[in-house]
Amino acid sequence: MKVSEIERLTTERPTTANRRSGLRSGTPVGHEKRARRAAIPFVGAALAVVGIVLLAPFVYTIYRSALGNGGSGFVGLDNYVTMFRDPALQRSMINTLMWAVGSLILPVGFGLTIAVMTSAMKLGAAARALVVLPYALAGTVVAIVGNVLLSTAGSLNQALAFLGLTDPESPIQWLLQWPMNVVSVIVFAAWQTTGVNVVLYMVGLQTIPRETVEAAALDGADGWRRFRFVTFPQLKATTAVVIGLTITNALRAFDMIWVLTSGGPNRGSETLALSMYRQSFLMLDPAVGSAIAVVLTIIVVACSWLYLRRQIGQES
Amino acid sequence: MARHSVISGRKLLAGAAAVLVVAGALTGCSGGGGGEGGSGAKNLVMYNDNPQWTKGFEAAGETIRKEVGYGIKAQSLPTTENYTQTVLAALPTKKSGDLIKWWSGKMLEGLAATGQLADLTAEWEQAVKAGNLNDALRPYFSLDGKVYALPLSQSSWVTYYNKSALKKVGITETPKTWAEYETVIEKLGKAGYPMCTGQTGWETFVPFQQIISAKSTTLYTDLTENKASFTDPKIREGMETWKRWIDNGWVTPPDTKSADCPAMMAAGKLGLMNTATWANGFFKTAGMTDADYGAFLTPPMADGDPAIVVADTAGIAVPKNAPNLDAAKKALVTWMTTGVQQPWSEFVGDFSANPKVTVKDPVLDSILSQVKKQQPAYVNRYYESFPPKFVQSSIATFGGFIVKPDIDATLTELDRQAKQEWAAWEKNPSIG
Amino acid sequence: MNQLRLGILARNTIVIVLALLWAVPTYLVVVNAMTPVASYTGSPVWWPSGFALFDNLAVGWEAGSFTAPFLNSLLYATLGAGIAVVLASLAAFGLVIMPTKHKRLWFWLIYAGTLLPLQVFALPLYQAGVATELYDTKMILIIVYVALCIPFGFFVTRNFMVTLPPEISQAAKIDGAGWWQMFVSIYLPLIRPAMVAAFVFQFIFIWNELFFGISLTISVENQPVMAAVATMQTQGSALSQPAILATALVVSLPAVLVFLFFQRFFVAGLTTKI
Repeated sequence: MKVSEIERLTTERPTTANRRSGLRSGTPVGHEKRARRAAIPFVGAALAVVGIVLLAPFVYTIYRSALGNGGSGFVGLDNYVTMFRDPALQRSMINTLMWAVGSLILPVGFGLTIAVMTSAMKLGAAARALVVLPYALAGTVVAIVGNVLLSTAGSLNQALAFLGLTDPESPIQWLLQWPMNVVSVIVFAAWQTTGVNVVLYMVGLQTIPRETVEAAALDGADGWRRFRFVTFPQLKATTAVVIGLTITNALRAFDMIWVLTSGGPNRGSETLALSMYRQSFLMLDPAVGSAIAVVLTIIVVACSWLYLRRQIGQES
Repeated sequence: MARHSVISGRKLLAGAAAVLVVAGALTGCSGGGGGEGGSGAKNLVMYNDNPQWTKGFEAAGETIRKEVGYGIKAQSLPTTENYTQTVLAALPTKKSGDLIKWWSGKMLEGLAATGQLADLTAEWEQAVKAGNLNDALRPYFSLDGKVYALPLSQSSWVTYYNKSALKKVGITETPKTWAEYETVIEKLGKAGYPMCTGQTGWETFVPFQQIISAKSTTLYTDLTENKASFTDPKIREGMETWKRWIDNGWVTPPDTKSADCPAMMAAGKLGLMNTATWANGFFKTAGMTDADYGAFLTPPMADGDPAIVVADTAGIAVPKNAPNLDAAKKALVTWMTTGVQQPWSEFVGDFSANPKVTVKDPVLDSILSQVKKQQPAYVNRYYESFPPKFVQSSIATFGGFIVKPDIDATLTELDRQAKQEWAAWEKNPSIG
Repeated sequence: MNQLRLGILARNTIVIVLALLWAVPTYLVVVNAMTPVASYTGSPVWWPSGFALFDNLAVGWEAGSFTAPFLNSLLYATLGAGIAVVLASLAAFGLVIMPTKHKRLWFWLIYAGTLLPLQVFALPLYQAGVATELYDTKMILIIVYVALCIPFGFFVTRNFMVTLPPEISQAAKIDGAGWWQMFVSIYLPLIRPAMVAAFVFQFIFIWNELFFGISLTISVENQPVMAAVATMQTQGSALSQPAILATALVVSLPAVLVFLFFQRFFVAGLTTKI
């Protein structure tokens, strides 16, 4: 195939009619069967690795959540009942939902904003680098900087007192009072995770054909209208990726919370990921720990399903 | 969209394939780690969660090799939670290791109750007979009359203090009564030299441990044997003392990390730190000498009672599945000899369970003289004295108290947890 | 015209403010990493009080025996992310371009890899590792890292591929191209931005990964670099914050450099006014 052919096809704006017709129209049955079989090694390799290493242990976890501790056999739903009755775990579920909401607004919103605004700017790459850099820092570094900023004797309180916005004798306890400590960690986590979304949106922006935007500009649409009616609708697939990944990472967030508050004080800032870890690794109780893992996964699947099912459905 | 030539796809794939081949070869060459040392040197594999002590373990191993024919290969994990999980999972397998560093007290009982540890009673008695082991420690390492570990070292909990800060507030002698101790805390606190405390990490029980054991060692011990309840009025009085310290601001902010406290003391921002002698080295690394910091024993609340020292020992156990079971057992007897313990205790900067070992560090030496003079009473550390699940859940509760000292809520919650976990412990102490 | 200039001014201001906000914590890290240990008071500083970055680094590096773990992580991150991205792109191609049945099912099965909390895998993988004699080898970490990275790579390349016009594959089939040839010659170059972006982020993820590193390996010969960082921290306050910070910062450099080097592949010259 000629290069110019590829270029022509990739710069023409695909219509929905083109998309839907796909490959199915008019192909003979025999060829299709062969083609399907040919797809097995393509999809199968990834599926096998993920299935054996990730999915099988999860099936084991579901099984484990129906057993008691110390070899005490099948206990049915007891672990789940224990879990839902525990006030600390109830709080943990509330915190998890806070993470689900809070982590959508900031990292996704900022990611899109920064990607779009810096895409046509001089020195845009420098601004992007500053935003993405935190993601590349080691967990230890992020933990230390989080404590440096947010602890009662930390830099943020120093700055606020210096600017006269707070009384130096009563600094704000960012990490010690619920629900503020949950919000503080969510906002701080956004500092790190926004960078990924910036890059994903940059990749997505490249799929938008130049002509569509230039046509709108010629029609007299200003920046905001061009974005709203031309750019953003063509970013739907990218937004699906960004939201899908942000939700799953937010709900599974562990390291950030662990090093800033250890889920405390008194388990008040735990999310289900931390509760699961605490139950299995600290309390040495894999029975309830497995139950928490299963409940968390159901929540993550539900959130992803809610948003993605339409997206995935449209393209298939 | 940028132009791409058709060729670059193939080049990309070829390059990737080349990288994979080279890397695969590298991987194949350097397979696993393990207990085999160099040319035929035999080693016992020792699991531990103290990577900073690897050199010390291996030096001890060389002395042990002369007696037993095996040295020590220390394999460590840096996080305690992962370490605990790995040991619990490893014990029933071929990869159980030969020596396991573990806690004493109920944590050890919980591990021994899994049935995976070897009985070390004979080895313990051998070491005691040779005068290399303080037999008073035996209850901390036993379950149902059998011994399951030998001591790693023997730490004591003392209160480290900032010498120049104490001078500044006009106190010339370290406190010998509880009233004097509270005066020290108040004067230092008011002058801007607080006491180290924090809600993150495991140390949240430390003030409770100090106050209750000072109030009455009998009460403390009864609590650890489930003979007293957290709702006891004397416990409440202890909590009120603690609350007073917090409300008056004589302690550090709740999100202080204990790892920062020695540096804070060196910088003149901390007055007191209640911790164990294994932390002695941290003060030195923060730049202080015995001219800058010292230590004193916890005074009793009741006049006429002896001072209190909280004992803190860890141990080394042997798995039943150990590949070199006999050598491991013999190695532990050699471990307790002065030839091993003297350099080990100097390396680790702490006391040894071998009474013949001499102490070189000036602050440790001063603690030793105070012990000799005051003949204190000993209790075991909180962490090892209660069922492990209760320890973990109460750590969180104490953390909440440090941030918001609500005595009623805290004691009710501790009482509830204690009842639940003691019942589970009596039924089945195994943690595996 | 004025409206346009105002719009550009507003945009530039917002970007500068945001970029500065993002830079503040990084700045604090660098400043505190430079603090000489002797001046460390247990509280953070806003202004550098000395330049002891390399001294701090030397102390930390020695305390954590970093050489072998550093090389290990290079291997794990390159192989793990590389293999995962290749397998993921193959799967994306198979699901988007090829006529597979039950596309939704396969998508969710592979994507499900990202839905599960990581700690869940620790114990089963450990037991599987011991049973297969792969515990404490480099192989098990590579396999696990590949598995952990496939879902992200799959999701990103798949959604990128979906935006490509279907006429490409139709034309290729008319030309008589086989599936493999179609993938290598036509689609691979087209999805390069997505693949490189996925590779960069999974490289960074594996490089910074600690949990599986210490769950599945125990020897220094096999542990990743973050295990060495954690080891350095076990010195407790024997090694104070500036040394830990300086070392952890330098250890982060490869991940940073990988991003800076590869970013031109996925942000290639956009000159469009969006």
